[in-house]
Amino acid sequence: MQDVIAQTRIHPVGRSIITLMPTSDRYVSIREVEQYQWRVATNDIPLTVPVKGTQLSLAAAIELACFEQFLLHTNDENKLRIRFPTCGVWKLIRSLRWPNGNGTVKENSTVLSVLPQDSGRRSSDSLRSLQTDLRQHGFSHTLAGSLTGAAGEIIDNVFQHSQTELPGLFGYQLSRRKVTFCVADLGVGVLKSLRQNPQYRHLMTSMDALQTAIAPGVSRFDAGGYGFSTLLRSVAELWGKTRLRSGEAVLVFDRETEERRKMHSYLPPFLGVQVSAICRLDPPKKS
Amino acid sequence: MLRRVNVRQLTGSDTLVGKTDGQRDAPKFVNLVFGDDREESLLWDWSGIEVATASYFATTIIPLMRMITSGELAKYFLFAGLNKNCLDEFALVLNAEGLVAMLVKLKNEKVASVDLVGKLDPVYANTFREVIRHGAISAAELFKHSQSRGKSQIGKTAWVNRLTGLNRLRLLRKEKVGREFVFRAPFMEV
Repeated sequence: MQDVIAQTRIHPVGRSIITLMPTSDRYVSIREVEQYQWRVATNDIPLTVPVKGTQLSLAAAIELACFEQFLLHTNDENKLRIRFPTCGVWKLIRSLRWPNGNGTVKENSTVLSVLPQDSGRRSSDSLRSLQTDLRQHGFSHTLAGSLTGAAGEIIDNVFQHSQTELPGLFGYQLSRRKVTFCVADLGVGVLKSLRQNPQYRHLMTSMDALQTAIAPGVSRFDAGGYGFSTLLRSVAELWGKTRLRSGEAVLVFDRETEERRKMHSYLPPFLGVQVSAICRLDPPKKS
Repeated sequence: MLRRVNVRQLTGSDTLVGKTDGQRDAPKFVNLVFGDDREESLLWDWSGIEVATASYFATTIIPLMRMITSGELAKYFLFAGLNKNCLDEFALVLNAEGLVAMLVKLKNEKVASVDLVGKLDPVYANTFREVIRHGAISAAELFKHSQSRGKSQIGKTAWVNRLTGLNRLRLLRKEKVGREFVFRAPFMEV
C-alpha cells in the first residue's frame, strides 16, 4: 500500500472527487483519499499510538490541513473538504478556520495558533506558553529553552521566507516527558525561496533545496539561514523524530533508536513548508 | 575602557528568537556601538536572557563583529552571561561565519577568566592563551619565552604574524611601547 501511495499522482477535478492515478490507473473517491492521506501521514510519522478509529496525531492533522489547502489551491470549484468529525485535533484546526481565521485554541494538552504574517511579535506569547508547559511536563530549564528557541526559529521562517500573505500554523502537544510541535505555512517552499539567492540558483529540486537548507547559514538572504540548524541542534540529544517537508521532498531525522538515521522520501508536491518534531525524554518502549 | 552592556535591559526581553526579533533590536545594538567613537571594549552581558537563537545573533551581533574585524569600528567585544543554549547558538553562528569571540567570566566585576568560542586556528588560540598568561607581551618576549621552553622552531616573525592576526580579529589590543608593539587582552587594563 505504501508503495502505491508513494507513486500516486493527484489531480483534483470536479467538486468533491479527486482523481488519483496510481500505477493501476484506478479511480478512487474522496473517502479513499481521506483514508489515503491519513495513512500517509500517520504511517510516515507515527507520532502517537493511533487511538481507535479516526484519531490523528498533531503532525498528521496539520499535514492533512495543508494537504487540504493544496487541494483547494488547485481545485477550481473550491468545494473540496476533508472531514474528520471524530478527531479532536482536526476539530481544533477547524475551529481556527485556518488559513482564513485567527487566534489560538487550547484543548487539554494541545495548543494551536494561527501565525498572521503581519505580526511576528504575537508568536512570542505562544512561545512563552510552550516554554512554561515544557517545564511542567518534565523538561529541564535548559531543554525547555532550547526547544522553545527551535520552535521560535521555525515560526520565524514563516514570517521571513514563506512570501505569502496566508498565515502559518503552529501547534504543540504535550504529554509527560514528550512534546510534539509543528509549524506549517502555505508559501513558496524551500526551493523557490533559496533560488532567489544567486548562490543557490543551481538547485533544481525540492529535495536538493531541503538538503542544502539544513546546513547553517543557507538562506535566500546573504545573512541568516539558521532556523533548521537550530532545530536540529536542539532536538539532537532527545529521542524522537524530526520531519521537514517542502515541495515533493521529505526529510526525516529519526532518533527513535540508538542509531540515528536521516531518511528522505518523496510525496505529492505541497505548498509551503511543513516541519514537525517529536521529542521524548525517554526511549520508546519496545513492543 | 570597558563598557558593560546589559542585553536584557537593552532589548527589554528575555526571549530573543529569530531574524524578526533581530531586525527589531538591531538598531539598538548599532546605536549603542556607534554612540561613542572612542576605542573601547564592550562587554555584552547576556545574563537574564533565557533564549537567544542563532538567527538573532546573526542579525544583531554578527554584522557588528564583521565591522570590527574589518577595521571599520575601533571596538573590542567581550561576551558574558550566556546560558548553555545561548552559547550553543552563538557558537553555531560563529563557526558558520568563520568568526571568533571572547567569552569571559566575571568575579567581583572583574574578568576572572576568558575562553574563545568560534572558529580559530589552534596556533592562534595557543598564542592568545600565551598572551593572557603573560598579561601583556611583545613578539620578541614571546620568542624568548618559547626558546627557553624548547619551542625554538617558532621564529620571531611567526610570533609577530600571530599577534598581528589576533589584533586584526580584535582579540588582542596592540600598543606601541618604545620601539616594539606590546599586545594585551582588551580587558587587561580593567
